[in-house]
Amino acid sequence: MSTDPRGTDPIPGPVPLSWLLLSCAFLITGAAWLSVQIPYPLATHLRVLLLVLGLLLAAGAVILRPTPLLLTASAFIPFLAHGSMDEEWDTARLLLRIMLVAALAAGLLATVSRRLRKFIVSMLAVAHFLGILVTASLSPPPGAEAPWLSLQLWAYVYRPYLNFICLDMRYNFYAPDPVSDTIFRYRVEFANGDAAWYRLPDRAECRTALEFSRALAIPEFVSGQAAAPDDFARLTRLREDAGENHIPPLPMPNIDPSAQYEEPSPDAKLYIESYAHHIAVAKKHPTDPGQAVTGVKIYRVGHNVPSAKQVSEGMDPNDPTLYSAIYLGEYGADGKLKPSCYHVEVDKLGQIIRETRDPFLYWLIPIIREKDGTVTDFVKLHGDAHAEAKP
Amino acid sequence: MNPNPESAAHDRAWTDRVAASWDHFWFHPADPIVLGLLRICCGLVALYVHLNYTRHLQEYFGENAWIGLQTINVVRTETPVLANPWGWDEPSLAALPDDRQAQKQILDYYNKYGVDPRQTVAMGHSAWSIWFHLTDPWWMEVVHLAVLVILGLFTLGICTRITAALAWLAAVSYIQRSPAVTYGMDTLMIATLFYLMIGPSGAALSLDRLLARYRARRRARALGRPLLAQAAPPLASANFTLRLVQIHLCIIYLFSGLSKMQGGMWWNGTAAWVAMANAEIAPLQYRFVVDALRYLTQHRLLWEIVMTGGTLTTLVIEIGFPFLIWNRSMRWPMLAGALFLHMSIGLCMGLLTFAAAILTMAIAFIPPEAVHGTLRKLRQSLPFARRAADPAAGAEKAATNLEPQTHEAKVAIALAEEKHTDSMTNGQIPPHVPAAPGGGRILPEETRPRAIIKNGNERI
Repeated sequence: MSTDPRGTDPIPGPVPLSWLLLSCAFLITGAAWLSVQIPYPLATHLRVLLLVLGLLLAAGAVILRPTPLLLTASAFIPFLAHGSMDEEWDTARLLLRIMLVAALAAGLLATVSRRLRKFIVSMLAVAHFLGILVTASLSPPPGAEAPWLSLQLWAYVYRPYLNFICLDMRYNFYAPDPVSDTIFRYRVEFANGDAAWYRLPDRAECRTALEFSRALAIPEFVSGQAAAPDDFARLTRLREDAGENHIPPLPMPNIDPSAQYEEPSPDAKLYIESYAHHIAVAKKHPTDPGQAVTGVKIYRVGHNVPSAKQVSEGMDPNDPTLYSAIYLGEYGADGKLKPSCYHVEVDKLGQIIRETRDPFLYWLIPIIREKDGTVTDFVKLHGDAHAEAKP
Repeated sequence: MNPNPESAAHDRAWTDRVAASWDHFWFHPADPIVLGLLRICCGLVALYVHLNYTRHLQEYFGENAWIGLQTINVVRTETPVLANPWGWDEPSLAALPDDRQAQKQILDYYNKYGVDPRQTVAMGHSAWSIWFHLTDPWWMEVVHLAVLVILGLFTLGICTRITAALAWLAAVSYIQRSPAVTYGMDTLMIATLFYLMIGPSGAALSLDRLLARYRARRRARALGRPLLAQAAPPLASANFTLRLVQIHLCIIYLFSGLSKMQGGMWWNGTAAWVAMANAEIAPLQYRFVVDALRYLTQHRLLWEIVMTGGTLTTLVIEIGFPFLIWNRSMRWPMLAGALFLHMSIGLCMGLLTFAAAILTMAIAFIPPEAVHGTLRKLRQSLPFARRAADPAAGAEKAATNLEPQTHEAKVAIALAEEKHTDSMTNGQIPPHVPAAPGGGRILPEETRPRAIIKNGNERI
């Protein structure tokens, strides 16, 4: 217990309390470290609890009295906690390593003169904002490349830091031009042959505007496109033939074929598989929840914005013909493309020797207004039909 | 060495001025009340955002979420990170190694990502999220509840130093786990939380502050000493944090505006139409909104004026903000412009949370006097607060509670105190500063702030 220098202060001072807290943190984290060897599952819960408690106590000690010695000593706590964590908790271990470095750096910073401390803090602020500027400059104008220096600084210097603190955004909201939004339409087929159609986002299922915005972000997230394949002419012929043979016929719209084919980028494909698996797990049969999901057909649908002229002539912005859908394939409950939709045979080296694919895969499926004014939704027709894979 | 002493002195004076300006910009003590207001607003936004996650915990962060655990683990450990070559030549594809296993690994990676793994700078990205490791639905709910409690405590300003750090760590955890459902609003919120974690965000308008005042009063009573100043002292760290938020917001506006200049629709003034007629985000489920749009389109001149006006207003505010906001006379017009812009976007495009997040950042530009003035008016309008401020009831308090009334006075005291204490340590008052008659404190003559004496503030 400390007293006022004049000997009149009866209230305990913070100096011993901070060290007491740090000692407790040390003991508790040490106990967690020792409990690593205990094989019972309950011990894992206890260990996590001890680690959280130890770290909180250490944080309390540091905040109470951030002296250089205490700050430096507090680095022991994340060090011990790091040793107590299973290797699978890799991101938590990364966080602890950062805490350790931060504690040591803060201890060092507290020892230097006020002038030098200001200088170091200023330089850190400058470096931080340089990183923010570098990230923001990574979105070049259409047809141009990002600045060479920005790319190098991003890749070699700032990426780990800004990734970790989630400040790796480009701030190009609705730029260079605002584009129409993307939604999903998907058809879920159950074991008994029943099927149900869904839409994402569905306003009826969203209670708040924020929920709707988040749901809208999900299809948008997989809008990355791969380059056109080398055998595009063959794929176009396959698509034309399949359209003619489809019952009812599914014609190609009268626009450039290259504008009708949108193959997702490799990472987008990875995410779409995950989406399909999520849908298979989350969606239940409307009347018989025991029915397992056997397939999910997904369509990425662009909701085009009508021109002012079209609206002035009476078109509704919700008109169904404003939707243009790209067929993303039929997936099994495991989230993989069904062999009937896409299948490749590879040799021992992983090189493709035979490819089987649904001729409509990654092609535009139109929704058109007939001459009599009725709307033909080929997405619905295609989804409910059984497409045949062709080699 | 400069042979001309006059020139050397001039150079020194120039560098000293720059250094002093820099020091003043970043480290001049500022009233933490703005930071306190920023914390409350950011805390409310974060609380709302995380409350919205409650219904979707499994859908966004569970093992079989939209981005499943297996997929996100692959992404965060395998995704290729590429850079430009250091020379002028593009890197050529290297020959495959002789080892079959290594060949297969390279080809598998190439087939998956379209990149030779040997040409990557790194794979994956550094991230922290508790949801990478916690998948049990019951424990997920427990942790989520704990996060909501932490955000509540942070908003109220309880143990703010700790809860601010925990709030940031929690918010990062959600964003890193489910990138598919995040958008611009999350980045703005996380940036503000990050800066609030660095600064003394609980130094004002917080329960921490109330508790500190209570403890100080009790301590003063126990020691039979007069009560020292009760208002939150200006802090260099508060100013530093506000500057971080201010500069970040300026960068956001600048790049948001400049990137729009690359697009044709922003040039020809039709960009606003795409936002207003976009049925997915605009409230076009209401008939009257569609009718209003149709009316506009049937009057070309009116349509052009509204669209070009909306587009230009967006550009002027976004590009002008980072430059004009630093000018005192333009500060309020720019803040009003930002408020108008974001409320319009919020209402037209259903992005009210985004508007709340960015306007929260803009709070950093509000002068502390305006916050004090608003709070004073608020206190006067509330009946229970009026009673507390009753002159008769407060007479005794006034006799023992002497505090500087102006921001300048507070800054002067803080500057004076800097000689004794580090302002980063919450401005503790050194014991040797004597008490003034009636309970205030008298600063030593050499540290007594001239500006205050000149202003004739007798209380100091």
